[in-house]
Amino acid sequence: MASAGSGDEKAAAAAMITLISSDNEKFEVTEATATLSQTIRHMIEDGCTDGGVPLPNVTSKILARVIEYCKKHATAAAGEEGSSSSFSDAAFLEVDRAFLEELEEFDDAFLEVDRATLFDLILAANYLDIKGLLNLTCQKVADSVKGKTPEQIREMYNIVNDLTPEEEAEIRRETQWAFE
Amino acid sequence: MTPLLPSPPTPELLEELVEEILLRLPPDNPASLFRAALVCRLWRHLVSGAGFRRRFREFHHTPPLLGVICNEVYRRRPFARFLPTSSFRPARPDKFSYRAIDARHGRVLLHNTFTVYGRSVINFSIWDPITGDLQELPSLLCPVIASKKPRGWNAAVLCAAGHSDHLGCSFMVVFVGIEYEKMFVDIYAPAQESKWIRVASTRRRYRYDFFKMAPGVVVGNTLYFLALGSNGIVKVDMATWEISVIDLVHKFFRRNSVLMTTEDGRLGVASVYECKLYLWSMEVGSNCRDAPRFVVSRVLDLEKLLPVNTSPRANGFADGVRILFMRTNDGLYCIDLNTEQARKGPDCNTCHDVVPYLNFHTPGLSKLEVKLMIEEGVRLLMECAQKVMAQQQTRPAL
Repeated sequence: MASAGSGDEKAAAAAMITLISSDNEKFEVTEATATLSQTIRHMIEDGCTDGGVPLPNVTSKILARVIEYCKKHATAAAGEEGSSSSFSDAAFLEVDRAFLEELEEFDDAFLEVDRATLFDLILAANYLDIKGLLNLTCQKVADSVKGKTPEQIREMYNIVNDLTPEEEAEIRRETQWAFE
Repeated sequence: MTPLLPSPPTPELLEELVEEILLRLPPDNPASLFRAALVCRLWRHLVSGAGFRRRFREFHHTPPLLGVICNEVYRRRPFARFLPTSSFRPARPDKFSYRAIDARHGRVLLHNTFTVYGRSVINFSIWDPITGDLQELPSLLCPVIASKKPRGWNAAVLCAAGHSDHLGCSFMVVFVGIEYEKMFVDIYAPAQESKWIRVASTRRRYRYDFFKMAPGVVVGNTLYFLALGSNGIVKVDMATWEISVIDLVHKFFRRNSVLMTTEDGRLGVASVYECKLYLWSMEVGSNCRDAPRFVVSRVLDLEKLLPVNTSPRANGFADGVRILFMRTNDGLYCIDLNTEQARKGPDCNTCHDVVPYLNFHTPGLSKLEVKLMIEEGVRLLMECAQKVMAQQQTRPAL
């Protein structure tokens, strides 16, 4: 299951980590992929990954998606380190840009999920401490909120309005411009 | 058999994750944060907190452009008008009989000037368009003819403490004036001493000098103003309070130029010449006694960016967001120097000079909430007092 493409496959293959989801499914990933998660990185550093890393807060369905994200972004990180010597600057920039575009496309496609999955991904990204994934998923929700009225936001995310009509009127009166 | 619980259609997000999401709302559209505050009590509580305000600033780092303050004239009297470029609208956007001269860290420096017995009296005020607060500073008396154009002085509002987030920082006003024989710097810092203090004075070299009606630029610890008569840049070192002039020998540095900062944080000049926008950057030689040189770092074709035949002039620069304001016969235009895209700015009638206003605007506690908090505090105090009194009554007399 080692990711192909990078030059040192042997080293990568030698360091495999087993992740165990809440429903007891096992996933084998390279250390480079796993260490995108700060939580797992610390566990590796402490040497407590023998026999697999149990992740009781993440289901197999979500963990599979998280690993998909990490694999793609781990190869991106490896590419940045490895290719600087083999290309001239201009060629490197060209490759770099093409790769970044591809990565962006991947991220866009990755976010094409229903709301429940998106929330689960946010929770997993937070729990596993994967900065890029947390940023990506939270930004997606923020983008869906920004143009909406309070009523629309409540409806979208099933939020009960517990503000009193007085409080609501007060807020509206003080910042009328925000509701025009 | 265990009964199945009805599962909610969408899972609930933990409180800390709601905050992660709300942190990512766009700062240049403050209305989105205010609408989020009206969703429910939890969201309201999250975005109104001081912790959120600080994290929001840290996350976005550069304050967004909320609008520009435009100096207009109504019935021959000046007034400063806030023209929004974002969703934010100040409660009172017009400041009659004032002119805006600078804005930094959310504060606008306004002034009105009149002449008494040949001396000028300059009244400065600090205006916060978000809260509406207007703070008057002591008048500044100087022998320069300040009320007429060309103007023999310029001023800037700065942070007195030099912190990075400028949340509740104290301010300082730096005034640079040109008298008959000398150039001087006066400062006003209410945190130290509530009066104007002369910190620097130097002999002037040019008989005829006046300032460009545009805000100064701060690079590091140095404040720069564009002077037109001598075709130079007045430099104020705020660490040593030394004042000097950098000569500009190049013919492009004329009236349609403004000071700016470059991408790598140096002093720059944007100037228009034959429908081209030249961006210059200052280069200091290895020997610090060498005079600084200005080199062209970028040229933008204005015919491609702005409507043709509108005689564009550079008249303002928003540091941080790197937006350059151009006055044209077709009104105000904004050029984003990062993307090299231009868009029409807010409508203004007599927009000779504009002062960009950049600030974060996040919801605070409403008056009702403050009132409720005070009531709650009073109630708790009363309860405490009653308990103490009850204890004293039940204590057996010695």
